[in-house]
Amino acid sequence: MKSKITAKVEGGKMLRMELELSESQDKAKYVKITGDFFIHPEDSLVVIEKTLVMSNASEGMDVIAVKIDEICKSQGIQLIGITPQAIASAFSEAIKQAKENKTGALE
Amino acid sequence: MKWRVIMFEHHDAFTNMALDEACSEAVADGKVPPTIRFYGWQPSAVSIGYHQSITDEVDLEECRKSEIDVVRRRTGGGAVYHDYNGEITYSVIAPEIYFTKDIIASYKIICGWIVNGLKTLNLEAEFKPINDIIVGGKKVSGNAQTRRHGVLLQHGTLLFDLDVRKMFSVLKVSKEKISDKMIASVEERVTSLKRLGIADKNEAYKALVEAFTQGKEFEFGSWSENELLRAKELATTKYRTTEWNFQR
Repeated sequence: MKSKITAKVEGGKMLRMELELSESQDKAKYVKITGDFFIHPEDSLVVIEKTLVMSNASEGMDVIAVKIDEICKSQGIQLIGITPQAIASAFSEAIKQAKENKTGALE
Repeated sequence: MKWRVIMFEHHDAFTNMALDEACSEAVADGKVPPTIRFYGWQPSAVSIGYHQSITDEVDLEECRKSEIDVVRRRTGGGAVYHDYNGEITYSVIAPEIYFTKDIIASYKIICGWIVNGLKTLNLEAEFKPINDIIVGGKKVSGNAQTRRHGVLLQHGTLLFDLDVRKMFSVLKVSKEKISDKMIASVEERVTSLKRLGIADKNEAYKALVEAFTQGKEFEFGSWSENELLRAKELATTKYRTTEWNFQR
């Protein structure tokens, strides 16, 4: 139960997400985010990926976006060309597609 | 403090990225002054942004066939094809405190130097956030910045000549998309100094050096022995490695 989606973020940057669902399908056991956006400090992308891995697959986009926003604020992470909402939206789509067991693109 | 300016030199992709990092370390340690460097890529190369997937973005087989190096940058942003003759690349490496904390504002400051250089070539350029410079609505320069250990590194390219077909052959765009229509579309969005009537690369380079150093105390300098040694080490142990380049 894997998925890989591509989304174009408002402003033009690309966000790709690879995701693998847990057996029970209630969590993602693997999330990889790639793209041409900027994150400062750069290595904090893994913090965001971990946040997603620890989230429930059933959580709404808004809840996920708030979680990402909070972790960014608490750890001084700056997102440029990408937003918590864009990441949350990609996560929701990737979950949905993994459940359907297919890959696709978000426009 | 007086800036050091390192005149244009060609290196392979791994050495270029290693020199940026070795210089950043030396600036962080206070061993060398803030530095502006100009350089090219020999052989031609593709650099990908820190967060990109190399296999998603680059046609590695085509790069191998064409003897084009591929390297991951320390900075975010997108994949760039660096043609040997097609661009002038720069890096600005300085203590972070030389610039505003606001990242976009600091892009604007450094990109402003390029805009000023283009002005002396009679080109009306403008900074387009996040990280582009445009002339007549078309992109002519892309830039990327990182801040690590109290040091700001911004590097970027000024397109001198543009080979869209070559660019598409090494960057991963589906082959069907490399149609005349798609190439026309890129040519509507991207331009180069040559297309804007600047035929002399050296003239463009001189304008850049003038604009980057304007109002600064500076001297032309060279790499320290330590920077060269460290760059050699980093090129081998980091930038040439599968571990680094395939990390995403």
